[in-house]
Amino acid sequence: MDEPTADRMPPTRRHRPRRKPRAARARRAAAALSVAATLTLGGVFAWRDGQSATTTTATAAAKRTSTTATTTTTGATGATGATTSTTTPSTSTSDSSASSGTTSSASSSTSATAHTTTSGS
Amino acid sequence: MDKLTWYVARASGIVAWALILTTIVWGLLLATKVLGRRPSPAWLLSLHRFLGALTVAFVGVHVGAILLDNYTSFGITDVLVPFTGSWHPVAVAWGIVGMYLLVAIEITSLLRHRMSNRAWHAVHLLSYFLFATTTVHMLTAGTDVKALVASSVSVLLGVAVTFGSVAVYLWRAERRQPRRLSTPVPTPRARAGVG
Repeated sequence: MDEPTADRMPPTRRHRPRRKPRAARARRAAAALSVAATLTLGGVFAWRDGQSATTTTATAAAKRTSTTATTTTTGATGATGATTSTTTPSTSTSDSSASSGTTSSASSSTSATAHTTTSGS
Repeated sequence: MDKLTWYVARASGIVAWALILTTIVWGLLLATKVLGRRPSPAWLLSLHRFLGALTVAFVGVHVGAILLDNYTSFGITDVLVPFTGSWHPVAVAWGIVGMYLLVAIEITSLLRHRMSNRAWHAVHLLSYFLFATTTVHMLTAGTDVKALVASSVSVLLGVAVTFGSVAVYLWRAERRQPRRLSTPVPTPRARAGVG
């Protein structure tokens, strides 16, 4: 009589590899996906709000600057310098030594551009 | 970090809406048996139940975060009774109705063995109305779904779910029809007493 070898022995319940039920894996995946989606969405909202807050601050600052510039330009005597600076701000910056009115109108043109960009986005 | 609860409320609300949609689709897959034997109906049912429970959990997070938030300053009454809050009262009312529907569907599902199949099914069919109310709530109260693409996608999904449900209902009714007619109809030969 041959003794039964380990190969011929039927697998006992204890030695059988225990398989995880598929539903459990799917459940875990669904839960993980939902939590990940919540975190991602929350992060995106926070980032977007941060971006819009920065833009709002920039717009407010630009508005403030433009108001100041307008006041200064109104006070200035030379209207020609103001026109030149609106078309080409770099020219006006180089001419800033000529009069204070020109410099202020240059900053006015810059702020106006910034405002337009912000409202467009 | 002062806006953390506001971000959690917004994100969990959108995820809860997506979970409602997924649960309904899963239920439709289970009811129609379009996938055949694989995956097994038991697997589909298990996941369908879990998705429903997960939806309840995310709605809980959504409501809890709104209660804790300072931006909208909601109280318990504002969250439980429609039209009591000052922040978009109509839009919030849709969400409150949806929350009650979800709770009713979940409770009847848990107590299914104690109630008749007909009553359970009648309540369970309200899940389509739940999806509709939550979609309206998201589109009207949600501050993030102002974009045209996002609103179009949600409306399209709603239409797809509605039409899909109607199609499934008609298909199942059609399948049931031959069974009713399968009662033995006397043939002319039988009527004549032949055979």
